[in-house]
Amino acid sequence: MKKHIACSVFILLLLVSCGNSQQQKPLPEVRSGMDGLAMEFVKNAPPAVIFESTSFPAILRVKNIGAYSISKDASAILSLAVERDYTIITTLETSSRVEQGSDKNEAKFSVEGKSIVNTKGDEEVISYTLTAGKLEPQSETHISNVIASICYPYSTELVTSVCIDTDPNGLRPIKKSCSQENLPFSAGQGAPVAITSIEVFMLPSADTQQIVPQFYITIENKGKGEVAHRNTFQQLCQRSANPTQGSISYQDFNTLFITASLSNEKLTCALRDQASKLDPNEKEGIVRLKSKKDVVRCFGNPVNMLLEAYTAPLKVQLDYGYTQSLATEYTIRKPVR
Amino acid sequence: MMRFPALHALVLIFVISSLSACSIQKQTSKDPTRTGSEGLQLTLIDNLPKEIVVEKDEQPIIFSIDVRNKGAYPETLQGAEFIGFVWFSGYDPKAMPIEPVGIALTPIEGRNPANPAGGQALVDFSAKILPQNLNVGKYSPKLLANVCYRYQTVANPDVCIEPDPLATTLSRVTPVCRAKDASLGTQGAPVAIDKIEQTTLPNEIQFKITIKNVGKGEIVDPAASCSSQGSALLTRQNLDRVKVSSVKIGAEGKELACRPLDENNIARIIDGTGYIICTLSKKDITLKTAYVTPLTIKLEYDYKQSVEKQITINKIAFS
Repeated sequence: MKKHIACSVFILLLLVSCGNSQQQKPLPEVRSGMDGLAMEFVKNAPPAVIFESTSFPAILRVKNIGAYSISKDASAILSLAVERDYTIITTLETSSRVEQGSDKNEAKFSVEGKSIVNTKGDEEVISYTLTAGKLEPQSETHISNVIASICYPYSTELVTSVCIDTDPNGLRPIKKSCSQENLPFSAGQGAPVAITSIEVFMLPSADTQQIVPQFYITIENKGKGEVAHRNTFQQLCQRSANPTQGSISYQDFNTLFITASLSNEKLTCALRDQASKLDPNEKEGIVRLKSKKDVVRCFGNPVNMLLEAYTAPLKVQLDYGYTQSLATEYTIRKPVR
Repeated sequence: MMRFPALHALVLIFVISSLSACSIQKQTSKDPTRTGSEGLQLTLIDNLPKEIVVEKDEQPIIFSIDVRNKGAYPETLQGAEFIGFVWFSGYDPKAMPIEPVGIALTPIEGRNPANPAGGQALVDFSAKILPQNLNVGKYSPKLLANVCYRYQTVANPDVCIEPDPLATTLSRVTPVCRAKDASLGTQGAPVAIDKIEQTTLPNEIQFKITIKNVGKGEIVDPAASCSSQGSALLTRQNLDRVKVSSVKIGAEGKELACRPLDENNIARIIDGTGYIICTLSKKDITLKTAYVTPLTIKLEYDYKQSVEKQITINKIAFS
């Protein structure tokens, strides 16, 4: 009897598993997470202890764990900072994807982000050769620091569906396809700056029989670094200022650009006065984060109230530069004579 | 310990059911096709994958709706007034236009002895996914397939007319029938005549007719427009309104006067239930003894119902 039951269960399981194999698998969700680039020093590069006047490697592994690909045209910059009195950067190992920037300590590189064909994102290994300098006659050891900073362009893209509720007050008695509701996004969009929530409002206008969709978009810097203006972020990693880009100022920090569309029609985003003062020519779309956060109000074209409620595609895109740093230390020691 | 309360409960249920059986007579339709609480039944045919993946090119898709008439109206297609519209809502026409916007249904025969399953129609809507108006990512609208149709409920229970229930004549002592309340159940329509309560007064006999929305949708005033264009304009004043087409008694079809009715013989349904009181004057009763006669009630209304389906369109980009 038990054998029969076991046999039946086995056959059932077999049938169930056969059935499941026919089902279509959903495409992977790559736009999640709150990181862009992540970097780490490769183990023993730099080594924990080195002797004076010797060369040693400093190798960084930079991984793009976000959903935006950094291209060659707008590349990321890795800048290595050392104590010049104790260490000299000798060479940077270049390759097809890693180029030397305006200085020896600068590496320009591109790295692909997560996509449906590469769900883990790409990574780049950037290798420097450093040479330890001489210690003072009285010193036997010196603990030195190396700081790696990356500055990169990034983009946050949120694509979602939003209910255009043509009867927000629920006056019509008919069944609605959807109702006005706020949209929380706790998982991020695969970028260090995240859209954490969208409050949805439908503003009815009785005179015109239209409603105006309005969205309060909450933006937060959830990464480990700082947001910078998309045009000047590179200067944060460059030793010498680029005359074509102008000088960087405090206003370049925490500044990002927003564009949003509803049903492929651009939304108008109203921004705070302080944001528009930044650049009178470019005031549209500029958002300034305060304490790593801001709320932007965007509104769309009026919608006929006589339509039934429907779901429309909403897209919000943030463009910005991002910078983050990582430090490690090593001990320079005099050789035993 | 638990036995006594259980026993008491059983006895109580038995007593209650016995009492209720005494006072209300269950009277179901003689025709088995004239039962059920459905009119038209919509089913969205599941012909789409869980996730529709698009890239750059427009993608045509077909939404098919299976419409079955599970009710009893119209009995035959000849001469029947059949109005029905099917349409979709809940989608963004800029991202996924659906054509046509609405389809007028051709008459679908109701259940009858010759066709006990009822008629059926298949309605196809052509949609086009426009990737140029979608963003890379997911778009997940909840589609509503709506139908609004004109329907009729017909009930013809037998009622007992006792002109003088207090008489002491021999015929009163052993009458042919006794006036009783009748529970009718359903009549093969989403709106049912649920109950008829009969009261004999000195000058008239009153029939309190209870009307119930037993379907899954909403009753719409037949005078209001209930198509794809008109549906969004419906107000609360247009809902829960049933037209009492006729209440007739006897073989000769004597029309009864009913109240309360609005203009155009409209009865109101509140929280799914409404009632009318129809009166038969004793002057119109020719027989002095009790007799059984048919009471024919005909209601007319528009009925709107929807089925929903969540679809997901995933736009991908390889470059």
